[in-house]
Amino acid sequence: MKLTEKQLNVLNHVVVDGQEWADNAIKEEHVIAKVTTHEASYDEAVAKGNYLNRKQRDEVERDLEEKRRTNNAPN
Amino acid sequence: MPQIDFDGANSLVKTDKIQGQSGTTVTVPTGHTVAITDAGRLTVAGGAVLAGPTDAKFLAKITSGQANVTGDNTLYTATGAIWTETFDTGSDFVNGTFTAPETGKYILGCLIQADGLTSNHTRSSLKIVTSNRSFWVMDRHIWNEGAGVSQVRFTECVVCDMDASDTAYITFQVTATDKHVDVQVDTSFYGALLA
Repeated sequence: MKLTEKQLNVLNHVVVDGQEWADNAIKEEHVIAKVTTHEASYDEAVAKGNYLNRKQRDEVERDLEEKRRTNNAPN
Repeated sequence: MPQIDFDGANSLVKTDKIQGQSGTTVTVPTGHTVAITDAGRLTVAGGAVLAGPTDAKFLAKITSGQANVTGDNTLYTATGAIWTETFDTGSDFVNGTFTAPETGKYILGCLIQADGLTSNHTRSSLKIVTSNRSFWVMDRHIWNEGAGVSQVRFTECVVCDMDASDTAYITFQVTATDKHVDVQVDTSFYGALLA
């Protein structure tokens, strides 16, 4: 599905790969509905500044997790 | 107050069947039932809809043991043609991935049967990965928790929000040195639409 830049940004706010998610959606209306559902959350996050999309947030979390694993290995 | 009896053939106004009490409560006496015909769903206060028998629900098990999938920190994604469905209402589960047919609150869970563990296997993690977020449902020292036996089983579940067309699958990861951990046939993935 061809997405607008805003649609793709909103999807990327929620899922790791918005284009891939849209391409695999069962129906086009599901894409529209998901964008509608999460658009306000995206706008709010962007307005706060220092915006990170889902993929970027996951990478930060993954780095933190690696540090936690290194510093807190189980006995 | 008029009271209604559904006797299987007619709707009758009677005195001892479905009763309005205090003007606000409907009571269905023993031996009588209320059937919901709108896709098997029941709408309750506030417009909440309780899932019915035709709504998404699935249970699938690994068809055969998957050998040496992790143990050396390999992240094992349990997808592919390795699953047998016990039931799959709506055919929403394919090769380890559940796709939500509609927006709603879902319960998702899994049972992992891991085998081939040794003292070299320390940290293990299990995630239920949905489109909107990953649920890190288990993070344990698998060898110690298994009291030093080579096979362990554990179950985890989450209640999550899914948008229509969102997907879910499970990942399993064991550290640290030997890729000798198997995922065996009792391993299951299951879920259902709650509302």
